Amino acid sequence: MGRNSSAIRRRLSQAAFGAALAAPLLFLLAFFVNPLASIFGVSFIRADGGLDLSGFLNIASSSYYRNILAFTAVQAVISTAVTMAIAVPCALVFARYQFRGKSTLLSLATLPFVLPPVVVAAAFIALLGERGLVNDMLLAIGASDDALLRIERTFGLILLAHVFYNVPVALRILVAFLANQSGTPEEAGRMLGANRRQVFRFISVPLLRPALLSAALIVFIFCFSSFGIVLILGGPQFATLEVEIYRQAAGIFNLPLAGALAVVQLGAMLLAMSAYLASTRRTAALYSGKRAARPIRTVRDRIAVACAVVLLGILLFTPLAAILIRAISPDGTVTLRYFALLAQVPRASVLAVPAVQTIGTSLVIACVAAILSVGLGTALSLLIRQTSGRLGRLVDTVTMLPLATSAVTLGFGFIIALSRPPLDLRSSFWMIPIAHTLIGLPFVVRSVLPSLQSIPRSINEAALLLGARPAQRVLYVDIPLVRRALLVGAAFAFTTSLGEFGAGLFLARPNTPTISTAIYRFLGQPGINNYGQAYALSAMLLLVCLLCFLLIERFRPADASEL
Amino acid sequence: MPMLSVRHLTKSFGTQRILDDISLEVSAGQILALLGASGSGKSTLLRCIAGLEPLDAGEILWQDVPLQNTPSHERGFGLVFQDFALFPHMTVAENIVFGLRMAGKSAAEQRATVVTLLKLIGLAGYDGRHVDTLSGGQKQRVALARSLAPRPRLLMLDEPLGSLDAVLREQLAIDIRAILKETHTTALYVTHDLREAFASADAVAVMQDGVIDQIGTPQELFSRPRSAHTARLLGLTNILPASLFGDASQTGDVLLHAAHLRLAAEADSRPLAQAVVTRVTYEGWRHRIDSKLSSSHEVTLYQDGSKPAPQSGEAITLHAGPDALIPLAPAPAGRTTR
Repeated sequence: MGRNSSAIRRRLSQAAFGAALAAPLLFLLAFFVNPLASIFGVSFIRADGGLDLSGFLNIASSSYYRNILAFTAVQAVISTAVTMAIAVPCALVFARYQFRGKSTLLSLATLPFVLPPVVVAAAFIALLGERGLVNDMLLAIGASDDALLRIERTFGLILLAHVFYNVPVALRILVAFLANQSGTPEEAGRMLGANRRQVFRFISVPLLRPALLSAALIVFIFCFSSFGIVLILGGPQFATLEVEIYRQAAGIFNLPLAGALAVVQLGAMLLAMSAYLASTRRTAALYSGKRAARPIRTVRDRIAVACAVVLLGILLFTPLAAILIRAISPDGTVTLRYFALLAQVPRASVLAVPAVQTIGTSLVIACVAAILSVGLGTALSLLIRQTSGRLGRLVDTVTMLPLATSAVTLGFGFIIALSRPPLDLRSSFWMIPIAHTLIGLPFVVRSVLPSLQSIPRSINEAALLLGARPAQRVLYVDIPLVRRALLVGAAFAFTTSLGEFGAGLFLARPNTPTISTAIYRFLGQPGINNYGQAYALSAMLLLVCLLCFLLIERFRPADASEL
Repeated sequence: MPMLSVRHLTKSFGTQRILDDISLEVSAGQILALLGASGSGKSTLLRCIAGLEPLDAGEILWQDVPLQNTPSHERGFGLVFQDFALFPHMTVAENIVFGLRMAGKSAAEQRATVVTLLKLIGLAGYDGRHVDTLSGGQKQRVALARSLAPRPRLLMLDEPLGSLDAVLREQLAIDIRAILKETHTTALYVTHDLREAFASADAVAVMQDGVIDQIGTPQELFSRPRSAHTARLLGLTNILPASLFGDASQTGDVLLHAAHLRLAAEADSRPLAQAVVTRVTYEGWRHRIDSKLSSSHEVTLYQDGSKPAPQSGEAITLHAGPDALIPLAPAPAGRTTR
């Protein structure tokens, strides 16, 4: 009897464990595959069930859409080129020299990665807008009697923001690669009679090429799918594919066309993403060992380091400083008035609720999304580790797909897939947290899976042979061993959700806007009250993101891969 | 009655056969060493018995009950890993009680076990130490204690001293044997090191290329190795064609056992062959004397280091004791395809 019931309990716990592992797959099916399938549905299938390619034909035949496609690609190429032109020399300097503050600067360089696009957009307006800090200063020193810098709503400002976002990304990839080059291939080349220039040309450059390609590809991907920056800084005359999907779907409800654009976007992303993943594998294969950076010796060394540090410092910190300054002084005089305004609903406000409420809304959403991401991401990571071979790789790839799917596409997919039975979440609180969970999931898996995989097999076998059931093994051995990675993944998911813009714009309910959508609405209206509140909200969001960033940097394992 | 029985076990990875028709038995309280070079399949055999690898064919039984459908964590077997596999996030005490925790044993019992085992392995007072702070030898002993704590029906040790200094190994193997005997543990001890196997085990199974060549006590193995392979593994040289001694039509090899070769006639010996000394090496306890037969085969013998040794170039007569000539079986018909 006792034996029997213990056998039943065991069977039950096994079933529960299996279900826990299967849950994330169901989640992905309902909230990722289903919305994507709906997008394909509206873009390919007529209401009567027939094949409908009108959306695609429209895109192909109209110069308007061809221009959008061209602009999306061209702006991404230019942004990537400028980014690499700054990142490569800086990376060479950072990899070669040892100097004080280097590691701090390098880790601070990850900061833009966690900054919400609305905050970055607001920061660039605060710095370089017509009434921005730079123009104020030019006026103050009498260089001009009108706003000198007129780059608001030009491609120039978009480009600058893209460079701000992406130089750190490229920098970290390149520095990580260069720091893992032992230098022995170069030495071997010298011993074989190559001179300095030949070594550079035939050995150093070919060695660096895969890393360059991989950095450039990820930057291209980010710029190609740029949404918030282009929407806010570009104004009505600029549109990337992402922006156009949003306008077609949310503005004029042309669902087949929006669907077709989303399919094009998805295809381009998948292509670029697989190229990127292939290039990272090649890059990792070229790691040959650590090389110690050398101290600064000559004046030339000093100049090189100073240039790199100053350039990065200006690029990274002036926009952030501008937003903090503008938050307490939007028009030259120091005041906390706009923070106070956040707690009220002034007449003619663009929001129906006090702006401060949006902070609460976003914090709740971010907590829910972080918890869900961590739970599902851990289960997925365990599943991927358990399933070896082809199936494991398939699950791994599927998990990474949300990364290649833009937030706008996701939001669009949610709107059309989840607003009808059996899953009608149209006016539910859950829409945004679920979308953000999908966005956070790849970060959690990317953080937890390598950590899980680095646990020696013998440790798990030891637990097994000491009588631990699979679920106990996970609970007492796996989870405690990856807790740092879990924390980092959770912080990433939380921060991403907090500042997420694209999906939120689609899915936020009118009465409960998220903090990002609130900032966007404030920025879209003229008047010092609106700008003042936008800056104040942005500054608060910036500070929260900064806190999360510090948490991530504190617990990120030293040898974690970049991205 | 045997506790563990392995019958006709076969295991392949892909097209490569790792274990070929393995059969062995271990009785209660016995320590059986599996001795073999790396790649001989001994670790795979251990993993099969532990349930970490599925079998292709054959059975594994505990007291005549087949274990095929019993998952690893319910077999009640322990395994000490070569890399120790201590849980890095736990203290020494937490590592040791892990198995008891899984079995739902009381805190008092856990506490008592830690005290007893730490004393047994000579690490009393180390309870709260973090495992990172231990030396290799200490980690090894904690790993042993952790495996012993749940009182496994069978303890398996997979090269437990493999990652430690060679100097320490023999002593530690003696210590392990003492601990296993004191706890009346039935054990399987995998090693590639002859001295470790002899120091720890009651019986030794010699493995080669996925088959067991010979099982016996250390004395049996050393005095009567079955094949040339086993003889070499035991450090015995002088493997010569059988036709040199006696009937010229004889095929196969014969071992001239150095332990029974003498330079002078004794009561139980007979003169065997003429040889010329090619080299004499002083090894402290003994002289090693390399010589060459007229057939130009080489024969090595040893003589007490305190006695005078012959000179290089000197002609000698080899005298054979009663057990000096041991016929050797051909190589086992395992997966050898060479």
